[in-house]
Amino acid sequence: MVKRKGLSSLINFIGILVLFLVMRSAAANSVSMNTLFIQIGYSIIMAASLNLACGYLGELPLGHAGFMSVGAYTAAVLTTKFLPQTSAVYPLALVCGGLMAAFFAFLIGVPALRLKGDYLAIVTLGFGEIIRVLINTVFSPLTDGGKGLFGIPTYATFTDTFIVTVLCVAALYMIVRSRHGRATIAIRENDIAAESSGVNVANYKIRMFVISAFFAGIAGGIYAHQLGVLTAAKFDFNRSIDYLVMVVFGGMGSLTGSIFAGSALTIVQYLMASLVEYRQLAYALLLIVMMIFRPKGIFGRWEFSLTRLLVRFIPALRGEPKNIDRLNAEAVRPDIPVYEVPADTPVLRTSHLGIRFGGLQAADNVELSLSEGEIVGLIGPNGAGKTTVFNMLTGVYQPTDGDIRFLGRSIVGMKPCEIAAVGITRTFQNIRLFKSMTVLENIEVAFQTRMHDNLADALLRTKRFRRAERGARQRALEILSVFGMQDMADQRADSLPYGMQRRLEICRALAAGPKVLLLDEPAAGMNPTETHELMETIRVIRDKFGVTILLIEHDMKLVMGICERIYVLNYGSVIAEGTPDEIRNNPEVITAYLGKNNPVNEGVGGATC
Amino acid sequence: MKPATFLITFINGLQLGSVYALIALGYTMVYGIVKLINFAHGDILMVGSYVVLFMLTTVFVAQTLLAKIIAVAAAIVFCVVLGIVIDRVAYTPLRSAPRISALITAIGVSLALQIIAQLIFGSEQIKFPEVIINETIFKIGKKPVKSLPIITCIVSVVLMLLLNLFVNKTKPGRAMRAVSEDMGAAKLMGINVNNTISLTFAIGCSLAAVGSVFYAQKVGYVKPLMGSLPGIKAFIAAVFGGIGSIPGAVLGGFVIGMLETFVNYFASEYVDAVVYGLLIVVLLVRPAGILGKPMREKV
Amino acid sequence: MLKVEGLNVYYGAIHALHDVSFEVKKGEIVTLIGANGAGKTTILHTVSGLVRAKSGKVSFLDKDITTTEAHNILKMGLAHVPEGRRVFSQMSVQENLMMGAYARKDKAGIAEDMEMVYTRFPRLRERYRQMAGTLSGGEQQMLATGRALMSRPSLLMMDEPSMGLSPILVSEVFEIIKAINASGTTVLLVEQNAAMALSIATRAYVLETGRITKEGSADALMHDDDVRRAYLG
Repeated sequence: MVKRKGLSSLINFIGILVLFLVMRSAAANSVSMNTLFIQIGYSIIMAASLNLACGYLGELPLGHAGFMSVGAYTAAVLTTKFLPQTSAVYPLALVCGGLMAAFFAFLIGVPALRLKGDYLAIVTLGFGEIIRVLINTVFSPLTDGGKGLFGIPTYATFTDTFIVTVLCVAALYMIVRSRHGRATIAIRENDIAAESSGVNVANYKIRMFVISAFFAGIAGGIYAHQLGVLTAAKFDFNRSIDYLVMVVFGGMGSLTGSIFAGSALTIVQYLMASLVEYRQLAYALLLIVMMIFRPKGIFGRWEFSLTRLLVRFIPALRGEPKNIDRLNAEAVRPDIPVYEVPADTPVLRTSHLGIRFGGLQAADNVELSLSEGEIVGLIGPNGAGKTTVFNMLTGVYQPTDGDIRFLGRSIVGMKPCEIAAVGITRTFQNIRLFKSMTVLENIEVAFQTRMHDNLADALLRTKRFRRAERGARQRALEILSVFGMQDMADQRADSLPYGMQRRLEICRALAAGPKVLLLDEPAAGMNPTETHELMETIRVIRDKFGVTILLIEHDMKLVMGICERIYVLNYGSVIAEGTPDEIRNNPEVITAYLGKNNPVNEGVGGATC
Repeated sequence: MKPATFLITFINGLQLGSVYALIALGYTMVYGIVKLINFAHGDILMVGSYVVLFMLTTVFVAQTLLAKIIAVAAAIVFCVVLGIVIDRVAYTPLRSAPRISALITAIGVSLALQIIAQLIFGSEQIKFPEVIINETIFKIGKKPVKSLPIITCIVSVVLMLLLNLFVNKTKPGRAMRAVSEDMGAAKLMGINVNNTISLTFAIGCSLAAVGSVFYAQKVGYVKPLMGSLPGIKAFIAAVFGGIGSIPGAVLGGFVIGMLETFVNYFASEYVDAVVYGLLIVVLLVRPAGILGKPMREKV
Repeated sequence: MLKVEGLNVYYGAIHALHDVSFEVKKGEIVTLIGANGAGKTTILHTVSGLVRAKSGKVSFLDKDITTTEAHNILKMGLAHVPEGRRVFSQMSVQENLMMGAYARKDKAGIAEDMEMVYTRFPRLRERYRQMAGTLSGGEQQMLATGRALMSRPSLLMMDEPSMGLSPILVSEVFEIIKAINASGTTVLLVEQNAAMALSIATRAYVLETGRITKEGSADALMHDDDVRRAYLG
């Protein structure tokens, strides 16, 4: 987008420098301005970090102030009791505060993040309260308990707060605009699809929760070293709500929004200091009104970009970097695994596969076998257990009986993300796209297990990170162009017409280079023309991507037209197997589908007409 | 612990447990029918107490028996209307929104109620008049057993039995159960789902209003934030017993009330932490609660 | 009795029903057959008011019910036995049947109909106190049907009553549907099991991917090749 490499970073740096100088001159002669700016600083960090766990990850932590208090007390105890009395230790104290908060978040997150939405919210609320009690009781030798901790050196100045705030927000931005951020948003949008695309959901939830707490801890350290005194009671539920309001108001999923709301609401709080109740009432009503009328918040998921703004007005800046070709050549594509298929081994095979839900045997003694490069159909009346079989093959359900072997290796007991990594991916009956992400991002999420840049690379924007991102984009575009969809790359996934959405889901499933592709009712909702196109698409996929395909379908034209072999399921068991012709004329199958007409007609229309 | 002390503490535990059970019932019924944690429910308790206070200090001059009866009735009516209004205005528009949005709204409602009370009545605590007779009935050893705890328990149990009868044996009660289980199928029976949901809120709020009188008199005062902590604990009780289950809410209420009262005797600083700790343990070990049913998501 | 004209229904971006039109005359058994995913259930959900159509008109007994709420449609005499039965599993058989009569006030009539339902479904009478969730699939189907009958409907809509049932039970259920029709209730039946449905129906419509592709008398369609091809390709 910009003509020179690194120009974007330069623009951002200059912008921040200008802002700094302006603010510094405003704060120079006014103590209250100085204080206000520092308060804005840590409020922004609190809002942005809460946004990571709330807006991006999609959870509702109600105990964020608890992490702030852990950071505050850790930093304060260090500077008052253990570290030498010089402001040089301040950064160290802040980082230690952050790490301690992160540690607490880890302890809390590992059990709590297994819970669903509402419950997670209440549990984090509970932990926030427990932390307060612990600070006042168990840790009181260090923290001076309920009396409050006094005499904290006031190391926080405008300059270092500004720098820390910029660093924290920048770090969060780097994380969010990386494959880790994409994985996080994918979890929020559709955690089951994320898991099936290779995202280790449990792992990421904890990771993001811990990172969010780390920054809250740093904000707490700043707070402590500005105020000079700490009482645990100040870090109560109401404080957590203050930051929640900032996130909701600014936009859940927009760091720009957190910066804006963090600043605006801190200023409001300052101006309304004597009208505390009216401000709180306004906050409460704001929450209600926003949720009903504008749940996205002011900025939704939009991010401000100084570069983008300047490019609009200064055409000279537009263009591509001169070394674009070299950059493209250096890009590192996501891995495409090579599979060794031992001779005479089915690619995927189930033996005596079954599952019992309570009293119901949903699948019983299912024997499937797929050879390399086949297109196999799985059909059967409604409720026969087809999706249940898919769910077992992809690790969403754990079978109670039997085994599943992929290239000779048992995959029973593996999690869906592990199975995706190993080489089996799927699409879903009712489309599970990551709706608010772009077409390209939907595919890029599925590269999770095939990309090797880590979180540090993302934070520091290393060469490895840039090459990996470029490579991911290239590969995703390649996949899209097989289906003629490359021009839709930057559109929102939910803005696509229905047929395209189904295709996108297939693209996503192909992203990780699987060996076996499971399609769950790919033709559902399609008209005859679209179904015909789909048949072609499936053949192309098999030929170009070298995958073996198992599909569930009700549309018999599709099944009979494209499947080389078909399994028929009824009441959870396989009742027939064979070529389309054999199945079409199999009396048991005809009965299972069309029904038997008692008492006179044995099988409708006779066996053949 | 001496036997006399144990007995007194036990009775106090029943008293607190009754209040928690009354409030927990409101949480559980609303969650059962619209899958929403009505964060504002604890604050209904606060509203009820303030209404009684207002009636008995500003509206009536003398605190006669008639005045007290009217005051309590007014509290019930006010809370019922408030509950229905909150549902229709704040929660109904979000019926099909993600659960987190509804929860955030509920938090907003809760805060709004607290602040409005603060603006009208001030943030200091105000002494609550004696509504229910609290005389010593008998003594265990040297310790007196007063009438308030006994009346609290008896009235609460009676109300729970009546609720049970209502839910199981009356038409609107069955409608509530039907809507809780399957909203679509209930519609096909000719049930007006929105009205049934409003009824659920109404019943929950009326129970909270009664509980508010018992609670306010027990602690002796009212203040704007008085509802949050009992509200959360009653919610924990509902979760412990199995959210959505009416017997579960009653069981949970008494367990939490008893636990809190005994822990308070031995180590009062840890009370809140213990109750929260119990919540965390329940959610990790058996999230559906003691009497609840595990749910499975369709893939 | 029931007239549907130009119905278009969307589930999000999916155009589930395209300009669907059909009618059911008094006393008939009309069946909508088609493969799974064709939109049969969507039609019933739209008629009974659980789902709103984007365009089109539904009239019942000459009254426009396109935008009427579901609970009011039931009160007009249009009952819907939904797909998957959806009995209230936490209530007893007796209570479920009482729920069917929720909108009625005539105690004598309700008692009469309860007796009629138990006579028609003797197995329910045996289990009148049993929790509905513990009944077998066939018993639940009977319960759901009986529950719908308790509202004394003039039109009974049934969604895939044969689903998940063994062949013997399927015959039994269809015999009962014939009997219900014989005693004066008009029936609109949605079924995947074309053979059984066509054997008891008066008229039929074939649904393919949200469109009505064929209509005619049940006899005519029973021997029609197109129908078989619509199912098995």
